[in-house]
Amino acid sequence: MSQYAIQAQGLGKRFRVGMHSTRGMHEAIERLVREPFSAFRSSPAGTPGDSHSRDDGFWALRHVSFELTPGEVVGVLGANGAGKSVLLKILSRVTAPSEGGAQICGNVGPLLEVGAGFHPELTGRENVYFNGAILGMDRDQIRRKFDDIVAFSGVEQFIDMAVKFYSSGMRIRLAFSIAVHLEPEIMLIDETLAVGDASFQAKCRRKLAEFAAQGCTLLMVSHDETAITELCDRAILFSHGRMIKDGDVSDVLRRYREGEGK
Amino acid sequence: MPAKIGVIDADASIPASLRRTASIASIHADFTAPVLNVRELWAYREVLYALVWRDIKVRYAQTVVGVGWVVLQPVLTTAVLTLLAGRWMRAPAQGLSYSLFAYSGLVPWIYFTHVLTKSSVCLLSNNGLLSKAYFPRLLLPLSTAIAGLVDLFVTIVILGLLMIYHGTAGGFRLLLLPCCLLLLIMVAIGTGIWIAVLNLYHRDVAHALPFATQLVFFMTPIAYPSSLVPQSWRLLYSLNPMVGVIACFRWALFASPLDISLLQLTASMMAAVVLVVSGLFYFSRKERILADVGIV
Repeated sequence: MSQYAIQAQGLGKRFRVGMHSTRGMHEAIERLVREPFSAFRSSPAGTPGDSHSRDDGFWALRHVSFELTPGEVVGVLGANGAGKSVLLKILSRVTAPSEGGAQICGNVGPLLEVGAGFHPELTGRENVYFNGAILGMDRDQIRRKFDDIVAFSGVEQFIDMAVKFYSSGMRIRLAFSIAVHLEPEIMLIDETLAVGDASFQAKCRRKLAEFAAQGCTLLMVSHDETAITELCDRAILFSHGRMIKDGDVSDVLRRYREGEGK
Repeated sequence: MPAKIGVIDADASIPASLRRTASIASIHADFTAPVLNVRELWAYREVLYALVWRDIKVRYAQTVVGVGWVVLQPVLTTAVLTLLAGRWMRAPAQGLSYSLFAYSGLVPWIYFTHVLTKSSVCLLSNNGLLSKAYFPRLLLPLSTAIAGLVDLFVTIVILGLLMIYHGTAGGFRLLLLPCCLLLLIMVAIGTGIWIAVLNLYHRDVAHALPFATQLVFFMTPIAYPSSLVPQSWRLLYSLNPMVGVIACFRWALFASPLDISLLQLTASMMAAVVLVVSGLFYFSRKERILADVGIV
């Protein structure tokens, strides 16, 4: 068994630029016919439809290697488009890397980000059961934790109302509440905390601190320097898809501010 | 830090259901997914259940006629076909009452087109889930095929009532009806997964689908029996897997002989198998990068 919660080795993710641009009817039809067959040739999984043009690509993330020990709380910093979200998507297995690999030891919670996978036509209650199931709880577990989830989210009053009538704040509070009640060993958080109001943000930070104290490994993307300073033992700074600094929170934050100043 | 490593070793504290992937995941760029990972699908059966439940729950939200739509579509189509093809064009009906004949073809057909339509959008409309958590993506087209079974069941009940009304007694062959349904579901899933992925890459697929299903409707023995097709065309005609499905369906329901030759039946079955196997293969190759196709 690995001594790390997360061990990333040379992770990279390449996107094809202009994958869907249609350069004329002829080419579009040719692609439509060829595309299914490209799956039957052995092309690497991480490169969408790349049967022709192997070189035009954009590396959203490259040469990323790091280790997280269990119980570590690590902040991920970087300007927009630095590759932070792609990293979390790879680690949560939402998408596959184009290069390298990672070992993940422990249950990964849902990737928390703005706009959770709720169905607008279902009520809050139904969505709790639905999302709980998608995220790995069985019905008994959800039933047992249902009251806690609703109480934490603070949307008790509206729990039997269709989610399409919820405000975005209510949605994210409910989503966050479900996620924290899964009790995952590893949590990947993508700027969720910025959404709720100040009191809910504080509540989330307390909950995350509680998790960290219990030995949960947290990898959180945030632009909120206070949250990072308060919660994290370590920070990693990304720029243009590369890791440029990994270490002590205050050092990395200083470097982050320098970069922003330029 | 040995003290903290203990956290991972203390696996027992985690609920069993959360430990569905033995809690160690390996992510690799050059990983080739198995074509069909039955064990993993089974481990995620709660997710399948949730998806099916949600589909059924949401399907008729905010409609006036509600579940009545399930009945209206085949019944109205049968009425029109009976008048048009049965009365005016005098299409043969294997010795059955024409309305019963047409309806019995429409039951599998409507299920088939329903699954295709739902499958074409299942990856797009569940984008929120695809980008949020890992689960075998195959569950999405699978769940649409399973949720559609509710509608299929309702239309089959009506079929039973029609048979009783016409005094058409089903024999021992009715016991083989579940096999026919299985074949139908297989064909629907096979076609559905092809369409689901193709539609991600080319939205043209969703545009072409209503038109394509309409064309295939005419190339499937629903309003007329297969025996109407000229001999020289029959083998080509049977490459449509729905030809075999509908022939088997009617064979099991009514005490009439099989409408197509054994060679045709074999061709139809082979087409169905090729569709499903290639569909699964295609899907498994695309599964890991579905979230990248400009939807997240």
